[in-house]
Amino acid sequence: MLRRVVSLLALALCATPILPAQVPSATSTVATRVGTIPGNDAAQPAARARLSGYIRSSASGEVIRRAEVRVDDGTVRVESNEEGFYSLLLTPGLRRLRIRAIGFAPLDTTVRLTSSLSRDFLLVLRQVTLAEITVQADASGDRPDLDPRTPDMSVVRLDLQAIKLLPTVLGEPDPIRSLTLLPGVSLSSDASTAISVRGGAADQNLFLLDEATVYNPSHILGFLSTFNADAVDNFTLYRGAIPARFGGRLSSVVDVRQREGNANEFVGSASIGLLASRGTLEGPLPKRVGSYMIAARRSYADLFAPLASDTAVRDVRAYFYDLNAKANVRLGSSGALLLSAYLGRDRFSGSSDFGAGWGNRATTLRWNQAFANRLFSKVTLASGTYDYRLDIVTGLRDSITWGSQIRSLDAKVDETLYLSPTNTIEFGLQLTDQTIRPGDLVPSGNKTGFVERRIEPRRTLLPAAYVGQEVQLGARVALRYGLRYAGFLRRGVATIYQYRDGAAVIWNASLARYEPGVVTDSVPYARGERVASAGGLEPRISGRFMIGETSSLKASFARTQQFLLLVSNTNSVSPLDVWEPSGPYIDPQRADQFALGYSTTRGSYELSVEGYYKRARNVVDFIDGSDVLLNPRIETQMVQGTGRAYGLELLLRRATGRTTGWVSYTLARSEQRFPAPPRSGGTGAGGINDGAWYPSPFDKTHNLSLVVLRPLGRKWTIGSTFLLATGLPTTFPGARYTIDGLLVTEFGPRNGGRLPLYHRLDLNATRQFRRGELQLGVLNAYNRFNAQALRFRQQVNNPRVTEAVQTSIFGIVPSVAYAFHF
Amino acid sequence: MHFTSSLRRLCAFALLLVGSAACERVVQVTAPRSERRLVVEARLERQLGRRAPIQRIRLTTTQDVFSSDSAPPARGAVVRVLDAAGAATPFAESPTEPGVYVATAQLLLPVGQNVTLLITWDGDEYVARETMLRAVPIDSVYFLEGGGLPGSSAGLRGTISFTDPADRLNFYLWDQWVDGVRQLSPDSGSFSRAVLPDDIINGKSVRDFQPYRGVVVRTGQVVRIRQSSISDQAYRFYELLSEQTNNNGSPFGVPASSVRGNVANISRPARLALGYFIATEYSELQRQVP
Repeated sequence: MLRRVVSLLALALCATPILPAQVPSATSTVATRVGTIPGNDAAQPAARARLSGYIRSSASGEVIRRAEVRVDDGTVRVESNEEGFYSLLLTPGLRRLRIRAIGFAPLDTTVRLTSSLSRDFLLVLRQVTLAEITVQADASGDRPDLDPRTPDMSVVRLDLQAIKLLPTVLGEPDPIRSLTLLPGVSLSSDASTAISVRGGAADQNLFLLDEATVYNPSHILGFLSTFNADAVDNFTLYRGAIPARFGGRLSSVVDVRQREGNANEFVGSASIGLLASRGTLEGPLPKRVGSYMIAARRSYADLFAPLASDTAVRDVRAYFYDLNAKANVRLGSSGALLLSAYLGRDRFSGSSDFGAGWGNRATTLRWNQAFANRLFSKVTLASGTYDYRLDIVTGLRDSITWGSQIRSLDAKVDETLYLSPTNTIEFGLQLTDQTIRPGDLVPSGNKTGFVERRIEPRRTLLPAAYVGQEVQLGARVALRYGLRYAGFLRRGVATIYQYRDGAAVIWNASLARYEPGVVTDSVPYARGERVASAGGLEPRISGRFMIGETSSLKASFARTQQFLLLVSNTNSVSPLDVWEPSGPYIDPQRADQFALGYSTTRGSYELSVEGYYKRARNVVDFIDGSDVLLNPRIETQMVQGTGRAYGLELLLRRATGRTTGWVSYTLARSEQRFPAPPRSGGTGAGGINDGAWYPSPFDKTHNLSLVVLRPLGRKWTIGSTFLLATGLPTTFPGARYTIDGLLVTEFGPRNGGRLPLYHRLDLNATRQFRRGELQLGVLNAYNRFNAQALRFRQQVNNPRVTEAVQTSIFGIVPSVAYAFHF
Repeated sequence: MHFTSSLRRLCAFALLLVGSAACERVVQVTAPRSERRLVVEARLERQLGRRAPIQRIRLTTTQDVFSSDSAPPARGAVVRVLDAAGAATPFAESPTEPGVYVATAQLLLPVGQNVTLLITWDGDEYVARETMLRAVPIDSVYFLEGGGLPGSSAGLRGTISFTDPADRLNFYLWDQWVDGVRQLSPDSGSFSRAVLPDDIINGKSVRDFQPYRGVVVRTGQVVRIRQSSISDQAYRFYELLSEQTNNNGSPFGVPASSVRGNVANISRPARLALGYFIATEYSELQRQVP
């Protein structure tokens, strides 16, 4: 039935002329030559034939995402979508196709087109040395990563083969850490993979694993991301012109796709590193109806703990694991059913007094189907869950269990209508049902008498609809624009507190501090009853203007909204942070971002320069001394204000030659302000730093990354990264005083100072064998002490003296890993 | 405080897991000079069932961050405490202890009474208000091993039992003396103050509670534990104080922030005073370690 509805919808849309008034006369030459005119598809349907299908790897049969297909002289070009599907509308006859994809050998072929045709094309993996895997463009016109011809802007697609050659943390390649080597992306701490994109907070990034939300994509308290580089084949970051099909976060979307597995033969790989081991199995499903992939990873430091002489270490049991699985069942030549699953968990326990576990689960069921060679339909059901649980001994015979969870169920329909190679329409509907359990504290034993505390669950519904179009207007101009409506509904059961003067937070001017609002009443809401609602339109537009054959100017605008925030008042995101939806006292966050860019390719070099300005409303910071754990009135612990970020990003990449790599530089500023608003009892004065603009915790003025890859002989490849960045903001003291004999610091303006300059050199050497690779690496090669935090403490031996102490995370960290394939 | 401790332990073990030894070093930092401010340590106390003693208040000032001097006394202040009826009790500066002001008459400090602290110093008027809260009696003091508690080592700890009244909103502050020495440590990671909010133990009979579980006591020592009822704002003050002094610089520590008390400068609000004014009734028991 659904298939029938979608087909009817496709026919209805195809029968509608698109932009008839915009058919420029100059393009008729192009149309005559290649058989297309933007917008006149419906006018001359009989003169065209459609060529569509999937671009696949010849070795594994897996789809190749974002491959480029060019016709004849290259004037007509399309990209395969994120499912590997392409669609072309051409004049019948003998057509020459040139197909390019990163990491694959170019394919030049011809197709005799007499009528509409469905055909898959197979590309061959490059059978070259490791170093050449990173080649992304060559003199013969291979697919450049920074393609000046697409209206894409502020998009980064990681080459997952290349990142395995870069230095790693203890032998574990980490896609998220690799992202931070690119412009506009930075880490807030060496100990964390919580990224800041263009100055935004860590919770402003949406991580999607096969369309399911991953709420806390980290292991080991953030040292390592949850994404196993062996199990994923697409890692795309949208940091600016976010397509209309994505929404829910202010700053970025990270779209991660798991591999579908080898459809031709059973293969596997395994690797051993200092931190963890990984294994992957993949192969065709019975009767070759599709393929599967299973990947697993586990750390094993805990296995060596019993050998330690220190009893505190000997009793420790700490490890993480994750499992990735995907099955792909082909439905004829134009469809597929995909089941994708992820389970990741960290576990930690001390002797017998303490246990903790946290992790993500993500599951996706998706039906992909191409209709009439021109409508690509995706119907997706997905769920994402993050939870943690602590078991803590609180007394001699008492303990408490403390748990929290966020869970979302998504239903999505995404349609892409390929009217012509220069005219594509996207539209879709999405609905997310989200439930958050902020925290349950359940005591057992009855001696210390802790009271059971359960913070009321938060229930929300998030409907969204979008429509967008990508259209080429002549040879120079291409536009991608869209409109998204995102809604938000918070529902009962809920208890909403009422505060005096409607103020959940009060600025006490006489004591220069925020205080929780005074509760006057509470209002219960029944199951399903509306507690709060919000919503709004999100226009998105990006475009390019070609300057010559290989250069273009690009510009974009995107509005984004966020109805969810991470309650985190620690220096870095922790696994114990909880999510909180918007509500009567927490307004949705909204951001507008403008960007202007220039992109060019010259021989083996690619250059991208982008400037951006982003302003955000209702961004969140926490009041001094906020009490955010298990707080039923969390709205009393935070304030909302405005944020702004602007910067200039430069990426210069050398894609061919013996030495490849890139230079990434970002000059940026990220600020926020939180004046005491009238409703909090203030008069405009007061607030954090007296309501003045101050650097956000993620502000880095300069951020430089230098990445170099070079083969050494036939078997070795050297990879190195050098990082240089302004120290993060920190708060310096202004004075000290004494209370009960303890020295107490009185701090100056928040984020008024800076940590010292950050710089680090990492090295990696990869030796290739017939069936494997050996990697040797060293992190922080010259042992730079990179301060991650600055604090002030009372000297133990001389309690009258205050001393400043810096903390760093990485000294020199060597690594070794071996991977083999079978 | 259990949760903060848990997070700190998690962080330590995460570092262990990745084999990276997070290290720290003492550095020289240039801190800007700031305006001198008044610091108030005013804790009016009365033991449950007894008359209040003569009260003392200490006034000092802020100093440079890296000074090696003792806290400078705030001399020449005019200090008064008003009861609910507005009757003032002056405090006179001690001739032997600069910055310490001693009540010139006995304060009654009945439970439920509002008390107001007024200070005039350096041309400014300061004011703070509090309410005397009823103490919750300690039922008994005894000694138990601290084994099995997070981060604890072997040995006896001062242990108490008490019953929280269900019908009152009261927050707790504990002080402990061992052989007459107050247990306050400048060490990071140890609790400078033991405090607890009302809601997590409301109406419960609390047994085997060790407010200073980091302090091991030995046979023959005399342990005195004081349990004070404090207000919500006093609890927040001590929580902030503990948070700052316990900050170990880990990625999961809270960002640095100043500790705000409840003493307002009504002459020049921007030049606010630091410290606190607390009025409390307390219960206290002492026992020798067997």
